[in-house]
Amino acid sequence: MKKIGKLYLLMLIILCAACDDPYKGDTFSVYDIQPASTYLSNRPEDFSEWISIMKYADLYNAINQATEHFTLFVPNNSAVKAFYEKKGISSIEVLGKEYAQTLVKYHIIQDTINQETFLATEGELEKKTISEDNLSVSTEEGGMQAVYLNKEARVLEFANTVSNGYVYMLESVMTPLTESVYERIVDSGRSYDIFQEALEKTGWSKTINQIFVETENAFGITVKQKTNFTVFAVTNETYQKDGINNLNDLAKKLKAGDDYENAENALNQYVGYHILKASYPLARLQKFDNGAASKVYETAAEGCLIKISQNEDAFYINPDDEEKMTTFVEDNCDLKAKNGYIQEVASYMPIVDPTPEQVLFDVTDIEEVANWIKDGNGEDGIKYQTIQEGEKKSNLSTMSCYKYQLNNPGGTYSKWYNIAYLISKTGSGWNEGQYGDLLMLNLGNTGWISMQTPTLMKGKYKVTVQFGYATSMKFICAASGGSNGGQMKFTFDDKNEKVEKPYMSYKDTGTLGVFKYTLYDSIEFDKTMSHTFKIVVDDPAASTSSDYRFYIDYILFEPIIEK
Amino acid sequence: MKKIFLTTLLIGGLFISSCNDFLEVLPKDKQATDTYWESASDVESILGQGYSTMRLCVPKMLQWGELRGSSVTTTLTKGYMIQNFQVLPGNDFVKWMDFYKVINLANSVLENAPGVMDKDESYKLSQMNSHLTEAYFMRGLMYLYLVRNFQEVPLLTKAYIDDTMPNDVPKSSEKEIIDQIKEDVKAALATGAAKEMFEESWANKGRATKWALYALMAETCLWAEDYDECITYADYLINATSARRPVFMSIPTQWFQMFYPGNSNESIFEIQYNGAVYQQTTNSPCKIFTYSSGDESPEYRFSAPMTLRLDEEFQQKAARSYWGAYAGTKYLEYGKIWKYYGLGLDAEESVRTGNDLDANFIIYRMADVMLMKAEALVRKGGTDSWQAAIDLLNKIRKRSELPELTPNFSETSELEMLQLVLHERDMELAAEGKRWYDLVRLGKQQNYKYKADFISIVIENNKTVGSKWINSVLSNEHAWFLPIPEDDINTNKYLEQNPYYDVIK
Repeated sequence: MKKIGKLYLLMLIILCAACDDPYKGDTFSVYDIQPASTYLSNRPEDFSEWISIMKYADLYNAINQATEHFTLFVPNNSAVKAFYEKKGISSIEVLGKEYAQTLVKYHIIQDTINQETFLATEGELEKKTISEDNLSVSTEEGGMQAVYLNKEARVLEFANTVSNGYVYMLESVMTPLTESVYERIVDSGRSYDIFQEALEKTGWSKTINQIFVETENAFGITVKQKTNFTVFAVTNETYQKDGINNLNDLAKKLKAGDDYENAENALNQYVGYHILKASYPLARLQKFDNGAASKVYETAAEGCLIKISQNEDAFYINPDDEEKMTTFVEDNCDLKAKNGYIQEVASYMPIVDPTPEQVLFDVTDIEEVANWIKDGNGEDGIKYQTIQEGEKKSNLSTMSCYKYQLNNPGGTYSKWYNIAYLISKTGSGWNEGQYGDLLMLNLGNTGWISMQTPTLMKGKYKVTVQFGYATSMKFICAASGGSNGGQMKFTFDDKNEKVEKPYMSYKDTGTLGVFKYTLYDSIEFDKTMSHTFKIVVDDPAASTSSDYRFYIDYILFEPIIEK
Repeated sequence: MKKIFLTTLLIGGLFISSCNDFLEVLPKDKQATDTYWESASDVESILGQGYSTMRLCVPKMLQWGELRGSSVTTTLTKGYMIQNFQVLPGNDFVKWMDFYKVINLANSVLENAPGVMDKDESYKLSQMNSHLTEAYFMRGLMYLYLVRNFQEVPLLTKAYIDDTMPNDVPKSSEKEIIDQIKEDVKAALATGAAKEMFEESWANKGRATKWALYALMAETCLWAEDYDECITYADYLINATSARRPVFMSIPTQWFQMFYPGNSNESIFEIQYNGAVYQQTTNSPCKIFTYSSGDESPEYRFSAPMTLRLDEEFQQKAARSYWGAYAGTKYLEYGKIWKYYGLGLDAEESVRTGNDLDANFIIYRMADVMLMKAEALVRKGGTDSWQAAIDLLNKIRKRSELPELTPNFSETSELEMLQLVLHERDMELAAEGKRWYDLVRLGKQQNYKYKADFISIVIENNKTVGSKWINSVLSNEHAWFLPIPEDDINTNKYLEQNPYYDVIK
């Protein structure tokens, strides 16, 4: 009975208090997700200054579009004020509308980058900004509390969700890139005078000062293409350590004649040796192929290679020559320009003829292919060299890096693309390959493909190819179903022909995977250069079977050192 | 009849009142406390729920305890984020809800069991006190997991009625939580009601005994750098003479019995599964650390560096290595976790199947306690302490038929001694959810004296993210702990995020 009494009392209290809301004053959000601009406008204490810039640049409404997705890197109000102070101005109008647009576009990527993807990036973000620039992510001590964009702006807030993307808050404004690598060398504020003069006197400055060049694509149409360079710069102080106080001293040390613009001139070659025709952040230069501890790069000086290697935690340039070996001045590396990077080195870095080196030519690890896929070409959600939950492909038949001819110009023999990039899925046996990706070929009988290898130093090599296999290709391995065992003809520079049936060597035909096949026990290249590797299909089934195709992962060149 | 009347009245009340706050005043999932706590069996039942709810915690006990240490690694995306120190508050793998459910059940027992004696004459003080010891253990154990993973968490010592955690409790400090655990264990032991054994044999290892309380206290004290107290409680186990004590099983061939069939003499406390009778296999460690001879890429496996260490012991024929902790794969660099899935025979076909997939999760066993003591002895310092520590290590090594350690103390540093203990724990307790806490103790204790060494070990073992990133993250000590789950941050305005993760509005 006592309980009934208590409960009755409780009910009375409930009834009396029923309309006195205990949560009065608290705000409950049911659905408050907004598009990017609206989100920023709702946080004026943090973003009012940037909103002014966006409005002046006529880009405020553009990023509110519900049909597009954006990742915004937004400097907070104090960052904008510091930027104005540094520029000696009081408002964005002083810099003009064009500059404001460049500035805003430099802070927007037209894609969604969540916090996981952002933090997993070490180096350049995969997607470019609307201004067509790469932003790079780096971390100092402190993990998420010390993540920087372009080593310039610390990220204060990550991936705030808006209905059409994400908003990151920055502690500083990022300086938009408008200068070429040459201009960055000139304006860097660092003592690159001797090196700069060498660039100018040899004519290389003109090459690296061009941000765009006109080229013809595979269809003969003239297109404007952005240039990419990596320049290994040397300070005056570093030159002085080797007794070089001016350009004449440098030319003298290199025993160069005075025809500096001549490609054969030693100074010209020396400067070309300090230039790579690709844009590499330091992290990329310090990253090697699976299992390798070094990598060789072609320089702009013809036939001259540079080798970068790792020994425990240290990285070396040209380690084979103890006297000429050098290192990166890491604190002064990754100076970004519109068309590349400047990496400072710790010695004057003369040309070194590296000893023959193992070269792993991943046949899809080619900048043109990377850019094609990063630009969104391929099956939905495809990511270059990134294994995801589903397998994805991209048609590569328009890439200029692969020359080919089909027996089946209509591509009707099988369901596959003629030339495709394939990125494997999680848990697949193909993941054992380099980067989990493969070049997938469906060329038909007598069809062929050729590609240029990286520059190989002259000498003898063992050549091994890693192929990919899927269980539906069992008939090739068994030389059944009309297949002769997947016969192919291989050549280098149209010489050294080998007729082989690599797939017949694969025994584990119940399992999808990759396998290695030695193509040449020994092949000699008498000149340091790139070679044309060609495969001709020589199997009738390639033109009759809908399951016929083959996969290549990489070609490994292992030097044979004779005593 | 009374209950029908009450229910009618409550439903009637709902109809009478139309304001929505009324719904909030009457808890949605009301626990009719007045009517529930009537008899001893009610108390037993809630305790049973507590043990049963612990099963829900096992996946996180393994993920939190292993992945950041990278002796065990995962391919699961959410686990990968923890492993690579890229975990965020919205990651499901950081949710602590199940731990708090156990705490709440324990709190309910602590609050209500004494009152049951007034209603059930057969419910005696000694039985009630015994129940309280189990509740104290449950609560303490859950808080030990929480404090080691989040450092600061809400300290709830009162029961709440519905399933929703109170949303007005701020975090307590690490010290306050540790003090609470110690207080709980002391309160449990003070009455002398903690049992040495239960009537049913499984319960000797599946319910909290006096031995389990000692082990919990030893581990808590080791975490809190109370080395003397750690040694004292470890010794209560190691030097016990009772016929019902857990004993270190020294015969090499018995090693696998700890995992199959389980509940071995060496065991102190295990989270129990019974597939045959109750079909309890969900969340058993063998359902998490799965094994299949044909699966070359299981969701969890030993990392490459750990596999090398295990393989090194295999070369020395250690029972705890091949067909012990791990079994091989086609790609030898990644050992598969075998101890929970195998049947103790050297054959990959000899595995658990069907209802036999019910391996218990061992929380404490004697080798663990011996190694806790060894670590405390090393930290205390002095030749005698170090020799005693080495003796303990050698006892465990001898069981695995590994050569004895004979360090020359005059040429051995404290760090080297700690590394010997750490290595022994890594191998003996592989995949038992201990590794990360072992590493954090190394890095954190004595005012972060070995922080750099801790970071180096993590970097050496983690091959799934760059060393630069690990170095950067772990330089911030707050990053050694997990973020407070997003849901709790959103619902509890008093809860402050772990400062390392406070980078999203």
